Amino acid sequence: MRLFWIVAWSLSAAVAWGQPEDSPPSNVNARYRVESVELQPGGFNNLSASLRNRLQGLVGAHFDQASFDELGRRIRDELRNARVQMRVVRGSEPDQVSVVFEVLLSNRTEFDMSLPRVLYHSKQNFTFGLETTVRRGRHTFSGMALTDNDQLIERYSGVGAGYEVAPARRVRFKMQVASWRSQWSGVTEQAANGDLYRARQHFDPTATISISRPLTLQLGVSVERLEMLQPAAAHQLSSAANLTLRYQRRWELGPDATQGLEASYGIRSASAALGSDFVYTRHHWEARYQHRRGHSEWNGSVEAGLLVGRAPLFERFTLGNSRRLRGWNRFDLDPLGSDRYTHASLDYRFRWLRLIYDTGAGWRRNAPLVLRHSASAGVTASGVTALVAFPLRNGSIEPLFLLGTNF
Amino acid sequence: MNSAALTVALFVTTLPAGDGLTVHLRNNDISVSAARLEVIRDPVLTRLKSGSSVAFDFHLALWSGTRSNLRRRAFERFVVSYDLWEEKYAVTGLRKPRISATRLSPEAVGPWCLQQIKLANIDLTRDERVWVRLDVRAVDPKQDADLFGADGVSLVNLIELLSRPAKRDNLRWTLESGALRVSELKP
Repeated sequence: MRLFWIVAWSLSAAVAWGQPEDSPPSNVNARYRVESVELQPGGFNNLSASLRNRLQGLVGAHFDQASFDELGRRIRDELRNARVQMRVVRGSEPDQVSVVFEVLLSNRTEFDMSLPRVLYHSKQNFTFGLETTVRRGRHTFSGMALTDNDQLIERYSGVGAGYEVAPARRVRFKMQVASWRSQWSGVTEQAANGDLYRARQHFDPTATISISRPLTLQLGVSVERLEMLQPAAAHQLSSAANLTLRYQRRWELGPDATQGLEASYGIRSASAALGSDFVYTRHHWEARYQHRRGHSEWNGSVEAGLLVGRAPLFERFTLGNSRRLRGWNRFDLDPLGSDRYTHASLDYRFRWLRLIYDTGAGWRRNAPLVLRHSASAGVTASGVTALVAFPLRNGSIEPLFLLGTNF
Repeated sequence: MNSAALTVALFVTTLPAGDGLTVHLRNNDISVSAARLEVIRDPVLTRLKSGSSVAFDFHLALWSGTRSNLRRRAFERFVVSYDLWEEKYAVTGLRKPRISATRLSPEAVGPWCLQQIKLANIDLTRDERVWVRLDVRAVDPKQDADLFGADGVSLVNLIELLSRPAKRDNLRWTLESGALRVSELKP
């Protein structure tokens, strides 16, 4: 019976999905004009200027439930841990309505469980992560189990835990601990020169400060204790101070069009003064742009990284995974990862269709830069994407298959 | 179309049904009506009176011969809203061409939706036995929440989705006809 309803919902959603953009589900109150928009209690003071403007801009317009639903979600996002209910009531004059958002600060304990990483890669096999979150008021506790053979040059598997607290509206503190077991491919073992480790324990306290609404600064330290393979049972410590400046902004261009820009710069610096056996500095730049109109969505990104000094292998840059140069196998590019890289990607989506072009290069100091390209095509639905990715090169081309979420 | 089916198709037939579901056969089209189908009640009523619209999924299925032989099914989604000034209900079907009704009483919403759904062009022989079942479900707003958010797949939402029928029977209605023989139909 449940299967039946899932099928029925899917078909019903397909019926709704087939409607043109200008004919959303009807609400008879759409013929009334909005007399006022209120947020109770406290008013709009705790909301961003853009959201306040958006809410007040709907006064005088005809009631549009989809717009107000979307704004209700944005209010909930901005007022963390709050539940938001929308109520539409008669206005003071006939043919007018007032919209009231009621904010209920949650004192109850909320539990969530998610799969932040699910991926099958035909060359790299499975990546799978499970995360549980318990949230009460301003406090969030999380636990995680993960096996990842995509992001780094190693497969790392293990468990982690985190705690996050938001003592003020613009400040958040977060602390994470994790224990990872590392596995290496044969080509990496052959190429490595005594830098491989068996396991690592990770400790990462950070503070995130919202400087202004689109700009945040993250400060912290990252401590990694490595259990080296050679010599056996030896330990090394990698301690780094890190700083990330991030800009995130989203604009609404119309009833069915948005654009967003996200840019960040991060630096991580490890030195002997922090007790680190590794001394290095790692820079990372990234910018992403998204434009969405109707069923069309464009995503463009550029990123680059620079690693100077002797760093552990988990800090090295990887291309040829589910996010960069998707048609390539990362071990064919560099089994030890690179210490410099640049990458750009153009991702187009129309309804369920997804097309991606990637270009980038990873190289080492004093080595030549070889620019590579790949193209991917596939389908995406409800957050699940299936892609076939090809390296664009002369000679034999072996397509790769990727299936999963969040890539 | 065989001759027997053609003969049956000429009948305008009303079949008595169990559980208040009445099955009609007109020109090869099966439709149903119900003596009572009151879908406007809490918690849907509260949402409607708060100015929000509520979607209802209607599923009509026909079995013939044996109960395992599903012959035809139809889905429709209707959106119901409550006019805050006129204090009446409005319904819109989502399939094209759009059909809608306004100024309905709460009791009239379910029957109006039923009038819009049918199983068209079914060839039935006189000796066949048929069963008809109607499932109606109010779409919970949480149901539309993304299972696949920016943070990945929410297992809690998935579990909640799959367990919802047992927890929220007040948002679901099922009406069934008994076993009905086509040859017994009378105009």
